[in-house]
Amino acid sequence: MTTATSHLARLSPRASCASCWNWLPHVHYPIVGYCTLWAEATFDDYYCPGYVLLEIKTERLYWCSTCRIKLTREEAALHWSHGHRIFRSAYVEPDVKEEIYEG
Amino acid sequence: MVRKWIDYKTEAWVQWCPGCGDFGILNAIYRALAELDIDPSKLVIVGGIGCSSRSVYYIKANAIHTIHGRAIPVASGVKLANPELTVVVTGGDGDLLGIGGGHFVALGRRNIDMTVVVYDNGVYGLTKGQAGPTLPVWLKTKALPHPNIQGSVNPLLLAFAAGYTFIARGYAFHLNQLKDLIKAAIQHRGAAVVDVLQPCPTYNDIMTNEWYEKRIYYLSEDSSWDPVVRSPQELKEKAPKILEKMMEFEDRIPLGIFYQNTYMETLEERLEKLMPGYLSSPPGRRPVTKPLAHPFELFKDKVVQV
Amino acid sequence: MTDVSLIIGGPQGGGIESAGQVVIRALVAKGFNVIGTREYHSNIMGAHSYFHLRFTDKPARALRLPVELVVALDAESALTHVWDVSGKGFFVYDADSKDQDAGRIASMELSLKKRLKETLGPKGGATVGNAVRLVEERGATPIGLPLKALLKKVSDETASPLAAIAKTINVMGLAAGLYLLGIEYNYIAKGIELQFGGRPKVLKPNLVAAKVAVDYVEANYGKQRALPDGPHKGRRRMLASGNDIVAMGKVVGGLTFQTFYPITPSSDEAFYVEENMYVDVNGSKASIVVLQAEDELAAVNMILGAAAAGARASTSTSGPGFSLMNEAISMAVMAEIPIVISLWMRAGPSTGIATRQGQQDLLHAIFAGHGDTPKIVVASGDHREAFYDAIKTLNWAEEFQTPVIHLLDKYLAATITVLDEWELDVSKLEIKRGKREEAPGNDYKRYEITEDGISPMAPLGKVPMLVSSLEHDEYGMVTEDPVDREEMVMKRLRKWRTIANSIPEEEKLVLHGDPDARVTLISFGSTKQAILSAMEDLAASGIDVNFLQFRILSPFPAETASKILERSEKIIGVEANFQDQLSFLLRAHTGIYVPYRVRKVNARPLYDSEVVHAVEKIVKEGAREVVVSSGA
Repeated sequence: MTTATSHLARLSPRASCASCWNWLPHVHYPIVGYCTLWAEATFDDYYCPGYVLLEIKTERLYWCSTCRIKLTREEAALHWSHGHRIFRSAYVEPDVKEEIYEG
Repeated sequence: MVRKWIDYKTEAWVQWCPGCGDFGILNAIYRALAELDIDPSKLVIVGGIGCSSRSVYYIKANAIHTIHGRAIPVASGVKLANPELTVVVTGGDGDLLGIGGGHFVALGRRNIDMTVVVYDNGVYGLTKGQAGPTLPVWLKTKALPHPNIQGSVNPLLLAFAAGYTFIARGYAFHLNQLKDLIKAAIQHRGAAVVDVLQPCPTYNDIMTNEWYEKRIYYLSEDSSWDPVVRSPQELKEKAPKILEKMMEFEDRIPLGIFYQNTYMETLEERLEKLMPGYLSSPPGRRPVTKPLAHPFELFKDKVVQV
Repeated sequence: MTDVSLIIGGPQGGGIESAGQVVIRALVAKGFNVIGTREYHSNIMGAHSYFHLRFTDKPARALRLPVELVVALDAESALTHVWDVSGKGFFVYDADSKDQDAGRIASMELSLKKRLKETLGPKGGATVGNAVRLVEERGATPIGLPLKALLKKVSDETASPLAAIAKTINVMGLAAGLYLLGIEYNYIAKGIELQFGGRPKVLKPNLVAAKVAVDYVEANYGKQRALPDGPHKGRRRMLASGNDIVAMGKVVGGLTFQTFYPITPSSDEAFYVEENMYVDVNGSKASIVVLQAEDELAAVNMILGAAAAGARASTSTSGPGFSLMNEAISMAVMAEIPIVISLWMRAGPSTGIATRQGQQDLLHAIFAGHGDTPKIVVASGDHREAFYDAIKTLNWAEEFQTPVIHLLDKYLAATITVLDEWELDVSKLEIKRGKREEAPGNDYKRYEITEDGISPMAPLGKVPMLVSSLEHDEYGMVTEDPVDREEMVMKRLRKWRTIANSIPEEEKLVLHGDPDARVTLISFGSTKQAILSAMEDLAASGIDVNFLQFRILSPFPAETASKILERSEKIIGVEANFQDQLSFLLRAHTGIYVPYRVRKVNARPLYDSEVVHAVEKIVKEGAREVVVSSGA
């Protein structure tokens, strides 16, 4: 049974945007995302020297792109232990409202 | 033509109890209208439901007797449809601050140029004296089987928070002073409220004429009192004092103009900015004679040429 | 002959709306008639939504299931629409999503997960891969698009920033799908240009994305045979939703005052009126005051005030808001104030399913308001009717000084259709304002007793007058006198009779199809086109039915309805409610009992295919009640 503290391990065996602290996956299509370091979009399998391994350490809200939901640190660790993809946050296109229906 | 107060009186029998504060308010309204010489053809009185709302039948004007709590939205529709009309809402504290409380707030936010006169006696008269929204907590009038366990709303603070740009309080039987307050409210450009304290001799045996007379005084007794606010800066400076006076309601009850904001634009002015020409051809007067145009001409954003 | 249906699904916010708009434009460019609707959750971001379209060279009347193409932009869409693709259709999905399991999709409804597990469990689990296998077994062709690889290709081929390219996933899906259906790239490109033409930064990557997707399909599945062009190429055509078309009708029809309180599915109507509140007509401006009220109580009471002051006024709402408006509707009857309320029905009761279809407010509209309050209730059957009805309701309200309820629904609200210029001809339309009195005398009586029950109506601001919600005399003065009271009630009764007699019977109901048919379907509102479309198929299979469409439900056309229905051997009620509300009214007014029913209560639109199926069950198999349940 995984405990809530086992998240200190690397999230991805391989360094790429998908495990980088600087990278926010697209809210709907997480194969692309937004790099806050370079201020541009990249694919999830890109890599750059600015790579910083994402760790679920800081008390803050995280984004689970598997569940498309914001999580507390503890919840994020738990989701990660179940194989979910955890990120610092998500990228939402600025003009997303054009695609949304009244509900 | 200079009109006299009697010119605003209708032939209808005024069916209020003897000693009702409504009489005082009605007479103050007549006199305010006469001094302003308002043409009854261009005057609209809108009432909700309750003793006081019947004022609509007693004032010579265009009058609408609406449904309970909805006088303000009906009046707002009238004013926006034809801004050249003078619009006055008459209603009780139950109508305007209880069932119609949401609309009372919204009018402040909109700052439509009209006047709301609250006949404030703390009880629902027509239905035999239940507690109104301004009846203080723990008061037990003779009409109530138990003391009032619900707190009261402060109409002035509510109006201030909502954004009314003219806020005054009067007393029903101080005819001259009340007339002046209503006059100033009608003359004010923007949403104005006059909260009029009044006894209900039939159901409120606590807040009687004597009770009020012992407590009330006029803000203008202090010669330095100046409720007019001409800029956001001035509002910041004067707000603490205004709020302090609005909150005073125990041994001493102040009357007079608490607040008048002269810089805030009205909703009609905002509409005119958005749609130049609105004021000269508003919804109630815009000629409508034939279909505007073919939809393919009007709604080009929906047309594709393929 | 071309008659093709398709579904494009994805997460709310994930490009479904623009995908649908591009598809419609591409198909219109190709010369087809198109109808397309949006189905979506009450959600801002991430829940499943889809566009359901049909294109044909005949009139595009109604939606049909199953479809010839499903384009699933994410795993949830692929799984949700696994039952919707026909045996000869294409199933386009993200090839990288094959391993995704319904159990891991957080946004998916639990019941749907269960149904998927039941269906796909035998194949090893509710994964996209197994859904694809099922679709394939049923004869459809799965097309796995490697979206990520294609997206990289788009990125390589254009200098656009990846952020713009990321937004082309929807276009890749639709381009692949349309190409498979026989729509050539140049039409797809035209659709993209029409949708994004004003935004070059968006246009370019989308064009490249469409090309990449089409090329991929061609390389891996062969060159597809192009469909012959439709018959409507090279025309100016209008694409409008039901919300749009009602707003247009109101603006064209001389509306001067509109209020609203936000509520689905009515808000987009108010939005479009607001967008056109200051339109240019022959060099001068026509202004409409559009105001967001603090609640529906205010929304309706504001228009009461505005109308009394001479405005041509309306508001729009849905069931919950209409509930709040009841008391004011009663006041409008008593005070004789002309107002129009567009009532966009949705699935109830209570908050129900805010974004889904229902026809449950017919009786609510008829009986709204306390104390003998008849009112005109008009139900539009389709966009074109809704446009004209929006104008007619404004006319009737003012002619008869009465509230008019314009009954519409979520399906019409969210459905886009293609209209030709001649379909919206307003040149013969009149604006009627009734007995409007611009110069009342000093002894003006607002409620003057007249033979037809209608008094001259002066707007406020002419002479002193009384408008009253209390019982009143001719002057509007409050009265409780029994003679006054009876006189006023009888005046209102005469007015109601005037209304019933003045509105032509052909406005009230329409008999579609063979008058001598043995079987008659009765319905109201947006089921019209599904039924008409179904009738064509039924005729082809030898079942001759006609369809009595009730357009005006109040005053109810009892006599004409009786005459028509007397000739019918079998009457089938088609309604999206469980109280058989139209049948109830019919029986109340005529005594005619409707023994057969087609019921749609799953909060999805009525599809023509299921009308066919249900009528066959009733006519051939003797079923009395058929509940039709299509739709994801």
